[in-house]
Amino acid sequence: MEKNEYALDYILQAEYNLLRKQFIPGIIVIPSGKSNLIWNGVHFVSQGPYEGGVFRFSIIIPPTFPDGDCPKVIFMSSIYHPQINVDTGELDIKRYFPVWKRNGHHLWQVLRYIRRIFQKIETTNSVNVDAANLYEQDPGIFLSKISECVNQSKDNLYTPEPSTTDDPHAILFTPWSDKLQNVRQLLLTGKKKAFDNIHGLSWMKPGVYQILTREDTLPSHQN
Amino acid sequence: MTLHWKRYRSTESLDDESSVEVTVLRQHWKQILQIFQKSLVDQDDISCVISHFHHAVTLLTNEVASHDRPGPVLLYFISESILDTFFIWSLSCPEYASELKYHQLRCFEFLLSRSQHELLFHKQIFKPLLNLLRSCESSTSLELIEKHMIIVLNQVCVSITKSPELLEFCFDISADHGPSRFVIFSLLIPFVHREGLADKPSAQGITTGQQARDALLLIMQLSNRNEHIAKYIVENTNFCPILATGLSALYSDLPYRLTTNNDDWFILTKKEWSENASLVQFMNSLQFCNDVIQIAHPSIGHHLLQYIYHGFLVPVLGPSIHQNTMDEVIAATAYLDLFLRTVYEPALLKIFLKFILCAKIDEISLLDTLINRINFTTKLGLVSLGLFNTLINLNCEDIMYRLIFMYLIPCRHVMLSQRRHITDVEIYGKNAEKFHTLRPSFSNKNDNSDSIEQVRSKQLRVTFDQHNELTERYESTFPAYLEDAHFNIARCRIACRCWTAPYDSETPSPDAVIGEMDLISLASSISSLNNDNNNNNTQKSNNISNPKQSINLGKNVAISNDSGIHVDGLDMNSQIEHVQKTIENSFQLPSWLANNQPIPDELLAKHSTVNHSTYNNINEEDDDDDYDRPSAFYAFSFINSPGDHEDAWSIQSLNTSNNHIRDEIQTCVDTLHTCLNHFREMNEPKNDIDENVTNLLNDLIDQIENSIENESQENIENFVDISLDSNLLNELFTKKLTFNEYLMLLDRLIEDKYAKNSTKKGENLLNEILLIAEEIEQYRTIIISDNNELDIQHPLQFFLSNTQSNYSIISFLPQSTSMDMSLLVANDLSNQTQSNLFTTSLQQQQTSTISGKTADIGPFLRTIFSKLENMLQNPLHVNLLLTGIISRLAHYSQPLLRSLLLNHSLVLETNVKSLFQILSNLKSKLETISQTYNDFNNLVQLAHETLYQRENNTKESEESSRRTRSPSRTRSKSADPGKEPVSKRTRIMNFFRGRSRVSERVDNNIKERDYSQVTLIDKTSMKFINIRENHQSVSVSEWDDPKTRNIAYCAVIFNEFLKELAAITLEHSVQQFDDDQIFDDISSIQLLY
Repeated sequence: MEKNEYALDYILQAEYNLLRKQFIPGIIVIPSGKSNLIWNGVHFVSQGPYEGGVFRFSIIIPPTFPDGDCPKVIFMSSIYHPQINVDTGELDIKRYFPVWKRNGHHLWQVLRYIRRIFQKIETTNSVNVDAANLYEQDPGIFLSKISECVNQSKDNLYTPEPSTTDDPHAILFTPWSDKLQNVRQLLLTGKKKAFDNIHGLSWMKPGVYQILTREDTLPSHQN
Repeated sequence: MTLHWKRYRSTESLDDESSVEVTVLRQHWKQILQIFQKSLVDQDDISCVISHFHHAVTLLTNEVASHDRPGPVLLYFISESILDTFFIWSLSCPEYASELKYHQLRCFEFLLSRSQHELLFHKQIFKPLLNLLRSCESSTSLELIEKHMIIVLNQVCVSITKSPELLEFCFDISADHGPSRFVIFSLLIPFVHREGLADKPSAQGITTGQQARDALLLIMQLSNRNEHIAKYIVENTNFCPILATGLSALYSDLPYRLTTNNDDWFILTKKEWSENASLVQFMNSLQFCNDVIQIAHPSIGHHLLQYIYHGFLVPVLGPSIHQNTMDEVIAATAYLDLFLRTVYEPALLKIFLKFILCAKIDEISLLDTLINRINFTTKLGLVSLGLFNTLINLNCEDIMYRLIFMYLIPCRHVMLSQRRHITDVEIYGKNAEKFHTLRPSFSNKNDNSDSIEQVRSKQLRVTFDQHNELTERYESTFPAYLEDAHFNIARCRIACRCWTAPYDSETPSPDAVIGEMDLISLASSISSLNNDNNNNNTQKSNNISNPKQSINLGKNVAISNDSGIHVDGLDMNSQIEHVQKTIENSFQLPSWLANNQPIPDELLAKHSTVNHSTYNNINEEDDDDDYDRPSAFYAFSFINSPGDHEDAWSIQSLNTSNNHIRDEIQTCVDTLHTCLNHFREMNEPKNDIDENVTNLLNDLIDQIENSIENESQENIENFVDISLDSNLLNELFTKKLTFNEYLMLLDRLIEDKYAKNSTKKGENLLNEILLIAEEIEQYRTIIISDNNELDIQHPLQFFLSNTQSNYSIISFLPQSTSMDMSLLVANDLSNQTQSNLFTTSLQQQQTSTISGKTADIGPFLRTIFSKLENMLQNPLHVNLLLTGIISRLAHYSQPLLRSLLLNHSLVLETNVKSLFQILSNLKSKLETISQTYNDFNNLVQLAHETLYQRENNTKESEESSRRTRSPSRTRSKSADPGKEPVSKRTRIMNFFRGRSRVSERVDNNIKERDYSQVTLIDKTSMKFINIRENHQSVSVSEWDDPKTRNIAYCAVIFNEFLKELAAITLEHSVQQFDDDQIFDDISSIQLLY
């Protein structure tokens, strides 16, 4: 039986749901509006040498997922980092996920890995050997190069990423305006339960597994 | 200047007019009074009086219609007591009473309908009105008067609702006439069940019955705010009983037989029932009860519920479901289903469910009966399926618990090692794929190259909006199913938010539930012991809470529910009702029980018996301990857990047929024990013991001897009979029949085993019986001496002669019946004042595993599954409904159920068939059978087209043909405005999908239960797939054979069913991560725009 086209959608949806449960701090990610196989994300680095940096990235998921190759992580801006290819912006993910295991590995772990590389810098087996060497030999210059990256990322914050201009799910940033205050308020407080009009029934007493034991509460009288 | 003039003019004219009117009124009144003076009146006088009265009232009406405060005319009316005087006079002309009443009513009606302010605050208005109404009570036979009386009453009720103070006024006035009567209310009651439907207005508008009910509802609403009136209605009126018994009366008028032309009819739609006058009348009254319970004061609601349960459901609806003729039973089941879909007030629904889930009719559990009827191959089976479809559509925890979770919670259906996988999350679509692989591929005799594989690949090639009118073929596409699954599962999950437990194999814990069940039964037995003496029994209390025992006892209780629970009192809702009968209604589960802790010592001491009762169990070491005690309180039960007990029978008797038979005989012997004990409790004359018992013993001995001779036989076919008998025995126990009847029953039991062989152990049994005979003799003497001391408060108490013989009997009848009795026996020879409780439960188990645990999924799932196994033989409409029910069950996301249905990798106990197994069997059966046809693929295609055509035809002819029933009718109803927007696709499975009580409810314009208005977004899901044109080549003769057709239909449904299940599985893999939060997000997003 050929694998049907919907299965992948559902697998990715499930992966995304798992990811949402993780609440990985500092990272937002959303599947591209054009393809489920491309997830666009932004990482706000809150500590470590890259503190303050806002780095955009894409996760490219192979169409054979979860079998086959690892997903790719590609940073949009050039980041000076031992694990990131300076030309392509691709993060060396294989060092952490040498082989993608369908039941052991999940995409949220990729996000955790992204977070980790900016906190603890490792230099062994680097793809950017220059950066690794510089980090080992002259951390001062390394840090200044990094802060250049960070500043550049901050400057480009409001500039939309060219590759995602026609993507309805593109992540865009705008300067703060008071208009957004309402939206913010709404998001914080407007947690109204949806589908309030759907009701099931239960007369079970919690903890006592007997049917129809709870007293009638003639609900109309509670109003 | 002009202005001044005008103003002057207007005030002047007003005064003038007023004075003119008062003058005219005076004239009229004078004329009337003149006639009043007459000692004899004739028709002319009456006409004259009425004419003047009309004029007078018109004057008053004109005034109250234009002024918002009392004017001179009204004041004149009041000062002259015109209305009152007129009424009193009217009483003096009995021959014209009706005519006068009618005109007075009309005048009041006219007056009240125009009045700008509340006239009834004037006692001179309200009092004669009340008096008039009261006088009408006796003359309601006149339809005209009746009609206008109700109109006026309705007006009065509206006024009272607007100004509740009038109520006091009303009582005050009525107080003059003896004990305070709420005359308005009592006048309305007789009209409660009067026909007439609000949304089906008669020529003159709203019908009398509806108007009366509206008026009553106004008072009900009032009662919710006014406890006084609620109390009055409950205590001083027969409102509640009339409502409930009215239901009974109307129910008995319903047609005994539903005329149906169509095979696939199984559900009463609104269109159908509204064509039947008596059904409409019943539904009106049911609706009214529903409304009353909803808006009236809770005390009225509770009363009404009591009356409906005890006055309608149990005595009327119950027996009707057990009617004699098939037609009646079918009708009754369809009615019950209709009522369930109509009732929306939860409290009323609750007693209906209580009736269905707990009631016993003629000592047979109603639920068991209904489940068994699913097996019927007639219309009854279909209608019963329809009823269960309605039940599981309610998203009701209690129903699902009773039907399914109760049996799945112990996790006996899965291998022990698999339990942790119940909650497993499978996100890579493996299970869905598995369902896809089960889709059959048909090879033809001719080895036609058009294999189903090709068809399938065509399906996957999605072609939008492109179809060939002549050869189009409709098949539901997978995304359409995904979409359905998405919203259905989401709805179901949301609805289940109110459930108390997740049913994920951890909560409720497989052990805890059982333990509690057990302890409840223990507790009830303990609380039935009402003596307060303290005893030295504390050291034995641990035996009671011994966890192993607990499980066993609990299992008995749980499984005995299988055969039903009789629930009589509304206050007693427990499933273990039969155990709790001996205790007070107010019995509450003590905290120590809820927490599964040992019974507190002080409690034991408090509740134990007069003497030196000791809790004990059957283990030898305990026997040793207690051997010398004068009395022993036994709590034992060692059913099905041989591993946990030393009992030799249990262990040895498991696997060999000889042992089965021996155990059966053992059962007989033990039953005899029980009977004897019971007999003593019955306290029958002593000579009966002699005769009956001796006879019986002789019989027993004879039969056992016989069976020893017939050793070679290993026939265990009639286990089923035995199980029936066991059930009968159980019933008899609960019925407390006489000893003689027990003996007869026992005889039957023995006869059933007569043919069976025995083993060398037979001799032992013989000795056993002889021993009993001796015991009986002993007892005889004891009873003679202690007859009077028997405690008759506890009908099930009994005494045993010595501790050694105090064993409870257990029989292992794998594949059939196991009869077990858990006994709590207080045994005291010297003091017979103990109270004892004897519980017995007979269980019919499908099977027992070696470990002594029952691997079972409960009778409902068992029945549904076996019906599914039979799919190839089922008619089309049964399969549609059946697969619909299973899909609906699969929408529930509770891991226990979801894993059972949708997780193919979950390893079940060997004797539990999984859905996957059943489906793959069906697949191979279908594939095999397809080879017997020349071109099965074409047959399948023809079936597709026929089904599609049929659905289309039904939709088209829906308006015109009244009697052509098709389940799809209800589906297309959902296209009504205000409903869930129906998706544009046309699918075969739509025959029954999407129909639920939901749509029925929305029909009834019930806003509060309005289900989500989720729009199905995907408009592309309708797919027209071009298939080969060569279907004409199908051999006509093959298609003409109904059997062949049915199999072709079956293949279509099977294929669609698998797609649906695969879609549901995929959806679950995504939604199992969702929680309430995710639903919240949807609304937040909506708020942003």
